[in-house]
Amino acid sequence: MNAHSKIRQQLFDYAVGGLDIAARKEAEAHLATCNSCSSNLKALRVSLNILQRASHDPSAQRTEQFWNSFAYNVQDRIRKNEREPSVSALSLVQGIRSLLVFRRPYVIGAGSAAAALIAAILAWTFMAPDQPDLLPRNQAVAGHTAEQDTSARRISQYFRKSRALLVGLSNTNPSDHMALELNDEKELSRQLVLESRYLKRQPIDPRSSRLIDDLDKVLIKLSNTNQGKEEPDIELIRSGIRRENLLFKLRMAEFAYTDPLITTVKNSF
Amino acid sequence: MTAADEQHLIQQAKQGSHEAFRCLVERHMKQAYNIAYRFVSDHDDADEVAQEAFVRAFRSLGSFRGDAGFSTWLYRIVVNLSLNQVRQNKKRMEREIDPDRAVMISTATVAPGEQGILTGHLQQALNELPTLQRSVVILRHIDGLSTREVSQILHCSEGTVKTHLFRGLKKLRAKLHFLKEEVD
Repeated sequence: MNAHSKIRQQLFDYAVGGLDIAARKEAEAHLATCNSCSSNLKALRVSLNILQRASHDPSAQRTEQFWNSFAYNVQDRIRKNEREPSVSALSLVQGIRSLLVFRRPYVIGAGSAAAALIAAILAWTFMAPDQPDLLPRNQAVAGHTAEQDTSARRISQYFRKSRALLVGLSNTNPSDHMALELNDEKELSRQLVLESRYLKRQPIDPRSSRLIDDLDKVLIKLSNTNQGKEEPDIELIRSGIRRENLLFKLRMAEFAYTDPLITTVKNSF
Repeated sequence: MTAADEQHLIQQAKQGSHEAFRCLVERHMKQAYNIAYRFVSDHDDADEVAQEAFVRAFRSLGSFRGDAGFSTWLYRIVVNLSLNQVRQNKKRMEREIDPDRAVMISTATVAPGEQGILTGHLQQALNELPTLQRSVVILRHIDGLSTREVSQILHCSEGTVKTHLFRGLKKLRAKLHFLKEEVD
C-alpha cells in the first residue's frame, strides 16, 4: 500500500484525533503536499460536523420507566421461549411443512411407493399360491356372526385333523407292516369325509373348497383301503399327498383359520 | 463493572442464571437500543430488535467462546436483526404504500426543530447508503465503536472498515451538501 492510500484510509482517524503522534506527523506531512487528500479531509470534516450536530442519543428519548422494565421484558420473553416447543421439535414440524410445500411431488411419489409396497406385502400374505383365500366378501360385509364363528372353527378343526392324519401316513414306513393298525386312521377318514359334506354346504372360500375336494379323494381312498392290499394303497395315497403338496396347503389353510391377527384382518374386509 | 466482573456474569448466565443475565442486559441495553435505532429509525422497532437480540444472545450463550468481547458479539446480533427488520419494513412498505408516502413516513418520527430537521436529513441520507457503508458509519462514527470492534461485528478486515467509512462519509457529504452552508 502506497503512502497516498494509507493516509486516505487514516483520514477519519486523523480528523477525529485518533492517531498516535508518529502517525499524525506522517499524515500531516502527506496532507501538506497532496491536494486530493487535503480536499478529502476538508469534506470529511464537513460531514463529521453535520453528523455531530445531527446525531442524538435515541435511548435518551425513552423514559426511565421504559428502561426500568426493559430487562424484565427481556426475561419474560426468555421464559416464554423456554416454555415453547423445543427447537428440534419445531424444526421437525417446519421441515415436514416445507417438504409438503416445496417438495410435494416427491412426497406424493414416496407416499405412493410406500402404499404400493404395503399393498404388495398384504397381497403376498393373503393371496400366496396354495393358500386359502379370505372369506368371501359378501360374507364379511354381512357381519361377523356366531354361525360364521362355528363354521370357521369346524373348518379349522377339519384341516388340523386332516393334517395330523396325513402326516402320520407320510411318516409310515412300509416295512413296518402296520396294515392291521390302520383302523383308527380309516375311522378318522370317514369322520372327516362326513365333515367335509357339512363344510361344502357352508359359504367357504373357493380355495378352501378346492382343498377339501382334494382331501376328500385321499380320505375316501384311505377309508376304502382293502386290508389285504394295504401296502400298495398306502403308497398310492402317500404319493398323492406329495403330488398335490397337501401338507403344505393344509398348514397354510390351518394358519389362515387359526391366526387371530389374520382372522381379524380377514373379517374386516 | 470491570471486565472480570462481566466475565463472571457471563459464566453464571451460561449456567442458566437469569439474574446474572439481567445484569448483562442492564449494562448493554442502551447501546444495543441505540444501534438498533440507527438502522431501523423507529423506537418501537428498535425496542423489538434490542429485546429479541438479548433473547437470542441468552439462547446462544453456550456458543459464545469469548474470542471477541461480549458487547461485540451482542452488537453483531443486533446489527443482523436490525438489517432483517429494515428489509422487512422495506418489503412491507413496497407492498402497502407508494414511494412518496414512504419518504414521508420515514421522516415522520423526527422531532420538530433544527435538531429534528438535521436528524431527519441524516437518517434519510444514511438509509440511502449501501448496507455495509451504512453499518460502518453508524457503528464507527455515530456509536463510537473502534475500528477493530466494527471489523469484528461485520466480519471484515479493519482496512475494509476504513475504506467503507471513507466512502460512506463522502457519499453522506454529497447527499447533505445543501446543509454545508448552514454548517460553515
